[in-house]
Amino acid sequence: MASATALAPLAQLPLDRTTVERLGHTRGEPDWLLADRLASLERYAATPLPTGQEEEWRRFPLADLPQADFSAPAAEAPSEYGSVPLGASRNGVVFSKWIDAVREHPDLVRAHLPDGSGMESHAAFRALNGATYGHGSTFLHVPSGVSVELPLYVHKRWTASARPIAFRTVVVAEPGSSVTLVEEVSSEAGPAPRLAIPGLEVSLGAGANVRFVRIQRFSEDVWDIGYQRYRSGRDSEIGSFNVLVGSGRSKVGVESVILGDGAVVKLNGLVAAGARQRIDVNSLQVVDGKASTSDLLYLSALYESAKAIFYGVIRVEPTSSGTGSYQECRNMLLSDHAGADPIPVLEILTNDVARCGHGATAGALDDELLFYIRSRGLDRRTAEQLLVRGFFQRVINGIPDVQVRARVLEALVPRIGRVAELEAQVA
Amino acid sequence: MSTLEIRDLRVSIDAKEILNGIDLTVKAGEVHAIMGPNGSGKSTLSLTIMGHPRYTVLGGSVLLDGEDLLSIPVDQRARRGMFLAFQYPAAIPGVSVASFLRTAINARRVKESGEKNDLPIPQFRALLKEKMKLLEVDDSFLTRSVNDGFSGGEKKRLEMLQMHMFQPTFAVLDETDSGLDIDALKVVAEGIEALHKESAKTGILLITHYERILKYVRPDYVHVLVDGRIVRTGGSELAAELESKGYEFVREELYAGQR
Repeated sequence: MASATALAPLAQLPLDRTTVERLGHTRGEPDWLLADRLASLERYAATPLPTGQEEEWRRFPLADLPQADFSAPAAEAPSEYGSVPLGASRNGVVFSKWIDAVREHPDLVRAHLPDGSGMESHAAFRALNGATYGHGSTFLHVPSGVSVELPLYVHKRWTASARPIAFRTVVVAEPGSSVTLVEEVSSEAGPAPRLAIPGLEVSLGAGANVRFVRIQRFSEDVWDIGYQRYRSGRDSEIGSFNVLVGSGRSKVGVESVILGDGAVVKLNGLVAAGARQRIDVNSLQVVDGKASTSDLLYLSALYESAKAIFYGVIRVEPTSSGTGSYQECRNMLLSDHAGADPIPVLEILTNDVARCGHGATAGALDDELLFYIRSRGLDRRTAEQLLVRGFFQRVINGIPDVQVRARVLEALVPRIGRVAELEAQVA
Repeated sequence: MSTLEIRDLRVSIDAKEILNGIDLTVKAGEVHAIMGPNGSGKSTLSLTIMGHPRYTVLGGSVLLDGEDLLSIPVDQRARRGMFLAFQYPAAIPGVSVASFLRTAINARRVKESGEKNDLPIPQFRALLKEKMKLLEVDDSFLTRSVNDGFSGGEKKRLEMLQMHMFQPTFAVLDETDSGLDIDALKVVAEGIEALHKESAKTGILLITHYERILKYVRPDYVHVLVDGRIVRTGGSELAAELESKGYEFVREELYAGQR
């Protein structure tokens, strides 16, 4: 039965059972994990890739989707993991490469395997990720009641290679736990376009508190078709920060599902794009429970011929009561050729809502403001950097840790330089 | 000694001529008050000196120590020593006063070669604290976003703080006195005096609608601007005369001969 038959309708992304089995064996995976990969492969076979007719995919042409040869040997590339603070590891925190976690904590990993469900728009790519994830995958588990005070860091780098980048990050915060994870991803530019499918699953138990920061600095040859899924238990709080500066094409699906009362969800994004980058985010905020809140804030600074598309849905479930939700998407256009297309959709399926709304804008720099700043001696470039830095401040302010903030600012240096970085030392 | 020389300056906006030939020379350490009714061209003059792109210069020149300012962009004028205190300062959300001032100070210290020459933080701090004390500016200013949610008086104080931080060769104050209560007015006036008399010998062009501020800042010259032209020049007594007789008096006097 192992054959080379292409299972997907788009000929660009063939994937067969042999390839998946070989990957599982190479990584020394136990049977239950290989079975999970093969279940994903079946889902992939049954899920057509987007045709471009779907609302979420209309503005993201897939015709040029890069070839993805999953049978090519995985590139040897380093992932750097920051150390887990001693106290935290004594308390049973697991933070390691997926492959190590499977070997050392098989039951824990097995109990928290993603079940493959999630937003429909990314179903095919999620299934593809589930069958092919490899280098760069991470497992983080924080036991009940454990607070990891210092942020955890991981930097994943890919060398130039023909093989697609497919990895998953699974974060499990048990009830009453607290953790901050900073994940930086980057790649070396290769000769031909290549596909990346980063998968993220974050689940928060009752009262858990998680901050997740993703800094995406892929090279321009990369198409980033990632998905992220946040599941929030009662009284939990998630703060998510997506810093998107890399990749030539991005189509990221961000999904948040509230599963209990009093959950707080904050989804933030900073996009700084130029050249011919096309950054397309589609979000789904599922709002449920009593008095839960879900707020999204994405800010984009677009240079040169960059385009940002944002298609976001808020769905307030009929079973919810007194919830608050908002979707805010602001775009600053720094060139006449840059463009933004924010599209908000609200589905409110109950009358019992405390608040629900959206705000979207796209605009060029204000000439009067630019003149004022330049009249203080700043040349146009520095004035622009300062304005973008100020524009981003609302999201940067929400990043809880000074050093994490510094990392985010470092990733933005190509766009905003080092303008206004020293304010904490001045005031 | 530095000189700012404005010669036969003619300026239009949207094809309408607003300034029809301004001649004015300001020397270091002097205070010139320019008074005029609404619509006389006061703001046009100040924004043109600084290089606002909305105004078209039809003719004439603005020279700083003989060097043409009209051909260089606004930021270069600032770095050569020009300063404009805006009538309506713009708000910069997300940029704190402290980081704005530091960015501006460092931008002005970049050498001709493009090499950076940042003012070390301790020196910057010391300078900032000194100026804030002089102008009675509250510490809470520093962490607030520039002009964002500031009252009219706070905005004008911040303009004065910037002027003191930058120590310009020439400063144009565009109706800095409007919207200030009497205490704030005194602080601003003292700030102006301190700057031009003692430290920097800054030459000042004080553009105002009211004579009120001239009770606290004693101008060396008063010029009356009506319909885009300076129609009278005198000493500080001219301000008092305007206050009692009003601008209509000047206008009538001006056009009497033409009727």
